[in-house]
Amino acid sequence: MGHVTNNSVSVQAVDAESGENHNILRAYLVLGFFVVVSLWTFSVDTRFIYLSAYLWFGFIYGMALQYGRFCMASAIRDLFAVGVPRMAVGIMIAIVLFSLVSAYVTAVGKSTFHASPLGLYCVIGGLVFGVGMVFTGGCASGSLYKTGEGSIAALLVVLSLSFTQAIFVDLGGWLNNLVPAAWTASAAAKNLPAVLTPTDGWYDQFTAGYIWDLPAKTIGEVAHFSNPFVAAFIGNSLINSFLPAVVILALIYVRWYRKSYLRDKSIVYRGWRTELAGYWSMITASRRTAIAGLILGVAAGLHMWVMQGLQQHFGILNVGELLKAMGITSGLSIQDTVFDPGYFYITTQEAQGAGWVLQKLGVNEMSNIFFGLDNGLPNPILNPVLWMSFALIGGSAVMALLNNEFKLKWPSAEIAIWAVFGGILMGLGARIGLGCNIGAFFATVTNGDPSGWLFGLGMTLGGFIGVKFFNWWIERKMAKEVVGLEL
Amino acid sequence: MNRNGERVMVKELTIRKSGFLGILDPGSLAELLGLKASEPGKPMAGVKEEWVEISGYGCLYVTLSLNFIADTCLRTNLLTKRALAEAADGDVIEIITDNLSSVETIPFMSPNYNGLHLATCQDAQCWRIYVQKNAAATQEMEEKSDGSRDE
Repeated sequence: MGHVTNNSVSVQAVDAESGENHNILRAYLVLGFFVVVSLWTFSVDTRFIYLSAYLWFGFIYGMALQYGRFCMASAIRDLFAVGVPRMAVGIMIAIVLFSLVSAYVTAVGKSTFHASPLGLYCVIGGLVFGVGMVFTGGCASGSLYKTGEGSIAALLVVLSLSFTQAIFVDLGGWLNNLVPAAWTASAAAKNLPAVLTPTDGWYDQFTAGYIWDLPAKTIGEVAHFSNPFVAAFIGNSLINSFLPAVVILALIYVRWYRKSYLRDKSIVYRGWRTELAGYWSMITASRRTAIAGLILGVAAGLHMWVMQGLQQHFGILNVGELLKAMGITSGLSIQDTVFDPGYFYITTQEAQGAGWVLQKLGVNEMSNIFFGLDNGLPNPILNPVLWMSFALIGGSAVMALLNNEFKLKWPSAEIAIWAVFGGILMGLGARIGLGCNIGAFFATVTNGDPSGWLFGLGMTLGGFIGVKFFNWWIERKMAKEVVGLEL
Repeated sequence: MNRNGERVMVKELTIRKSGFLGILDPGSLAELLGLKASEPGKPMAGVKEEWVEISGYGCLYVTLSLNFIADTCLRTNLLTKRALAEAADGDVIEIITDNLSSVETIPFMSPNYNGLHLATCQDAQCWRIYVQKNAAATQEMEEKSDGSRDE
C-alpha cells in the first residue's frame, strides 16, 4: 500500500525510483525518434518540413490530450452518467480559445479552413458516432491518445473505425438499393470521370448526389460582413463559438453544478454574485482540464496558421503538389491531391491508412470519390496527416511515461468486443457526418461553421442513448443475478 | 487494524465478468449489495485485512474494495456510483482502477452521491481512490455520541 495523501486530485507516485528513471528514458527515446525523423527527412529534402509541421502539432495535441485526459466521450458520458461537468467545461474552454486564434488567422488570410455543408446528415452522423464512442469508452482523438498510454482496447477502436470507413466508402452492391433516385440522378449529372463509378456505391452517391448540393458557409460569410476582422471575430468567433459556449456552460452550471456548489456551507448566497462565482468555480474546478483546453485551443489555431504559411511558402494549395514535385506520385488522387486539411483532424487519415492496406490486399479502393477523387491513398509512411496521428500517439506516450502513467493494458474479450463494435459505429458515423468529434465538431464550430453544432447535437444525443443503454444493461444484469441468487 | 487497535476485515470484491458482456458475478453482486455476508469467523474468499492512514482523516478501515483493473471508464464510474448508493453512512470505499479518466472523474462525482473523496494514491500498476459515504453525517453522529457519553 502506498502512502496516501488527502489532496483532492493530486496524487503521490509510489513507483520505485528506478522505474521512474526507466520511464523517463523511454520518454526521451520516443521524443528522440520523432526528432530524428524530422531531421533526417529534412536533410533528404527540405520540403519534408511540411510533413514535420503536422508531426509536431500532432505531438503537442497528444501531450495535451493525455495531460487533460481530454475525451469528448468522457464529456458527454460523465454528464449523463454521473453528473460531472469537468470535461464538458474543458471542451468549451478549448472551443472559445481555438475560435479566437482561428478568428485572427482567418482575418489575416492565413486560414486553411473550408466550411462543411449544412444538413441533417450532420445530426445523423453525430448520433451514430456518439453511440459508438460511449460503447468504446473513447472518442476518435481519445482513442488515439489512450493508445499512447498503452491501451490495446483503444488501438482496437482505432483499427476498427479506420477499416470500417475504408470499407464503407467503397461499398456498393445491395447498398445501391438504399440510395434515393434523386441522389443517383444528381451524382450522374456531375459528369465525374467514369473511373470513379459515381453512380455505383452508397457513399459515392451520398457525396456527389447529396452532400455537394448542400450550402456550405461560415457565419461570417452568411452575414456578409465586409471587414474580414468583423466577419472572423463577430461572425465566426462571437456568434458561432463564444456565445453558444457560454450558453452551454450556463446550462451545465444550472443542471449539474449549481446544486452541489450551493450545498457548500461556507458559501453565503448573495444573488447573481454567488451565481457568477459558482459559474467561475465550475470553469476552474479541474485545473488540469482547463490547462489542456487552453493548450489545445491555442495550438489548433496556430496549426492552421503554420500550415497556410507553408502552403504559401511552397506555392501550393495541397500537399499532393509538393509530393509530386518531390517525385512521390504513388497514391495521389486523380486530381494529384491527398488529404491535407491544414488543421487538427483524425478520422480521414486513419481511413486512408486502412484503405492503403486494403488496396495492397487487392481491393480497388481508388474507384470511389472519397479516395480516388478527394483524398488519395498515399503510403502511410509518406502520408502527411497520418504523421500527425502517429505523433499524437507518441506525444501521449511521452506525457504518460513522464508521469508514470504508461501501462500496456490488454482488454478482456468483452471489452475487445465493445471496442470493435463501437469502433464500427464510430467509423460509420464519421463518414456519414464527414468527420469525427474533431474534424466535424471541434474544428468546425471554432471556425464559424454551424454544421459543427449539428454534429455536436447528434453526438450528444448519441452519447445520451449510449449511457442510457449501459445503465439499462447494468440494471438488467443485476436484477437477473439477484433473482438467480434466490435470496 | 482500525484506529482503536481492533482488527478489521476488509471485503475485497473483484468485479468479475460472467459470460458475454456480463457485469457482475452473482457472488460479488450479493456482497456488493450487502445481501450476502461471510459466515462469522470464516473469512470470505478474497478477504484481506487492511487499514489506511489518510492524512487529515486519520486511520480508517476500508469497508469495500472494488477492483476495476482493465475495465472501461463508464463501467468503473457507473459501478462506483452504484456502490456509493448501496454503502452505509461512514463506509470507506476503495476503488482500484488503471483507467485515468475514472481517476480524474471519481473525485468530482463523489459529492453527487453523498461521497467525500478522501485521497487518490498511485501504485505501481494502478490507482487507489478512497471515498467515504456521508462522511459529514457520520462525523456529526460521532460528535453527538461523544457528547452524550461525556454528559
